[in-house]
Amino acid sequence: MSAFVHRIATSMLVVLALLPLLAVAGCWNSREIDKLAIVTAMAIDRTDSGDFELAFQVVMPGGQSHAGGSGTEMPFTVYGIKSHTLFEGIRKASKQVPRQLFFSHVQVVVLGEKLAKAGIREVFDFFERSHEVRLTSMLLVARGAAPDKLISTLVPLERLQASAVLGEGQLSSKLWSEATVVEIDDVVRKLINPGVEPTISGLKLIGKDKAAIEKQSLEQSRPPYHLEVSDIAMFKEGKLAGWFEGNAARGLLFVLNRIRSSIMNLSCGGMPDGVALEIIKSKTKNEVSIKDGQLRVHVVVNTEGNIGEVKCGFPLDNLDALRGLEREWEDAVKSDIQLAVRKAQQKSTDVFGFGMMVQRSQPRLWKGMESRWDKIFANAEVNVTFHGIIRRTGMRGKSLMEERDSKGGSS
Amino acid sequence: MKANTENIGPLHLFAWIVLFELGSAVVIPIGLDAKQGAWIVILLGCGVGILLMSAVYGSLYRMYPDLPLSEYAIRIAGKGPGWAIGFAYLLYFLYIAGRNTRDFGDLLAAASYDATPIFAINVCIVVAVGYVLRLGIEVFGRTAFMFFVFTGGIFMLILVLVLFSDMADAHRMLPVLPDGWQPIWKALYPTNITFPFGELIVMAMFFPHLNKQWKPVRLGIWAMLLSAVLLCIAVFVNISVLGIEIVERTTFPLFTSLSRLRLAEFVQRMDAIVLLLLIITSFFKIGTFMLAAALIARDLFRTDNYKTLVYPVGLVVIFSSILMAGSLTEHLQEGLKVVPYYLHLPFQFAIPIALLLIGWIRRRGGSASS
Repeated sequence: MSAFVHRIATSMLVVLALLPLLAVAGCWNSREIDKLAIVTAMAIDRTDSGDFELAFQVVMPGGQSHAGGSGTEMPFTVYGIKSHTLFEGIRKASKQVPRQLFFSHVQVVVLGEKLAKAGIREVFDFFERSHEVRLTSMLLVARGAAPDKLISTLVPLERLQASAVLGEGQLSSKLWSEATVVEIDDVVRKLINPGVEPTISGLKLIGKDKAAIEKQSLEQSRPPYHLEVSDIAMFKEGKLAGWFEGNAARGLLFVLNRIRSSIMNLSCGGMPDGVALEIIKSKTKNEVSIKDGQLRVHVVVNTEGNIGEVKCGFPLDNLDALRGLEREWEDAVKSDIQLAVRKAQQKSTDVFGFGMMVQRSQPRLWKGMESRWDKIFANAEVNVTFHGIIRRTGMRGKSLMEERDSKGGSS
Repeated sequence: MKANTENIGPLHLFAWIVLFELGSAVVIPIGLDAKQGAWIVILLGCGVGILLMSAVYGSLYRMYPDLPLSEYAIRIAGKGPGWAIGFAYLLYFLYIAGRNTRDFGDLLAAASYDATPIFAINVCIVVAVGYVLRLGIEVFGRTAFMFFVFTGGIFMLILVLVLFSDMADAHRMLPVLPDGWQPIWKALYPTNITFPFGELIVMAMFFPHLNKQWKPVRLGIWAMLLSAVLLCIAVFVNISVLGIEIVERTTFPLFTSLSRLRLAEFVQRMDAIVLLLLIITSFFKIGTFMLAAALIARDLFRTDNYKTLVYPVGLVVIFSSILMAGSLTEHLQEGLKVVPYYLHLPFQFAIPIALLLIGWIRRRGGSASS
């Protein structure tokens, strides 16, 4: 009997001991999703007095449900604030935002041009130190417009401006290769390492920028503005030193081995830009050597391409003609690369990381050169070797133009 | 003392030592003062540890195969001094258990439990450890084996992630010795010859429990080699994913690396598995030191059962883990500037070597006189 009572008492005690679990389960500082404001993009600029000017793009909770269609709600809203430190700004924003800003899903960080010119180093400590922000957000430099304006821009096709920009950046680096997706930790590494300087793609607002924040703009089939990820900013000692544009940007990406696909126009029977060549594969290897304090770089580009379009009667079935085209391609790539190299050398900022290569292969030698590396880089001799093969010419052999040209010739 | 009825098998001891070695070491920056040479520091540290293990701890074990450290200290140094040495080791093990608990709490708080008081975190781990310890050495050994298999799986997963993700760049491991050999020696002495491999002195408390047909020292050396390899893998992962520029400033490198890695857009944010690794390995490290402390306390104070001693030991560990330092910086500073010189070097090197020498002289004297 007493054993029975004992057992009852014990099980009662166990239940009693387990009861508090119901109350204490979960996280200490659990935050429910309906109490959070999810930040998808962040803009950082500098005021004239040297403070930060921050803007946060926050997802509207209901704004995502009807995908694509123009609902009654805005897809996102933007809060702006001025502060001395980033963290201060984020917390101070609670005066305006009814929910706690949540930074784990920041996709895009746009730095203002003013900030870029004054120096971007001090921005990154917070990103590294915080455990909430991911180091994988895409980094951009606003070109022309203020960064808070850029993240406030309404865009078609994607509900969120941040996803649109991320998509543009990723696609254009994949298909066009004049911009690259640069993530925060990549820049941090390059800011620290003295043998390489960071490069960050630019973000531009083209067209009527007043309309960019108005919902009516999206009700037109052709909004009077668009956002563009293009140009690549180069930095020197953390400060914006210049921009690579167009061919120079492509040349830079060739050296950095970041070309995935691109279209290059070559001439065709006297017509400039008459052939469109699609680069389908590209790999670059750089060899650095130092002789008598002079840096020599050998850039070896191995690439493959397809003919995508011809605008004249080019004999694509003629191997010699194709070889000629390959030679022209070689010249075009070489001139792109040399253009990029000259641009970087003018500002003596080693965006290619040649210094890092010396550091890796000849650490002792590097020690002696580190302090005057920018001069050594500016006087470097860069040679390019190009191996390009045109693999295929698409679904047609002869061009329709060639048919007509040859008929015209015979008559 | 014929109380060694509890026996552990060879695989259990092997798994136990590996997890013990990985405890804290796999997640905190180790050897990174030598930058890309960190893996050399780990291998050299392991070499010193193996030397210590085979020449000193091993010789002591061969002298007294049935006795734990605290008992043969009394045999060798005499009753009074031997008891004092045992008591000093008791305090040492308690303190190191507390330090590891603190490391654990601080890392978890920094990485994800930012608002949870570390007291709550530390109570959780020590209660869990205490629960297993109360079940005895055998259970602890078996648990170690189970989690060893699990840890192996985690390492495989990390390796797969690194090899198949384009985030990692092996070139970042170069140059191997960016500043020559000088930083290697600096990182090695005294920090990395004592941590984590020198801490195996604690195993001298458990060697007598191994099934007699196995040689614990040889097992220990294999386990040390394996853990050195695993630590090197962690270093390779960290440096190739983050680059030395970021790694040398992180407080929790492996966590940061894994939060960077992603595979095919959907396997991402795998940093939680590093927390798992931290919890498992810290569990065994804290548990080993607490168990050793309980065993010494049983021998010194002549109680029958070390299992009840787990309660006071656990309380001491919890409270010392909170009170030993005000801030993380103070805690780390002590770990670098005070602990290696005033605790690790004497307890891992000086006292065991002295015991060995005295033991030899006594044995020789004894055999000569008899």
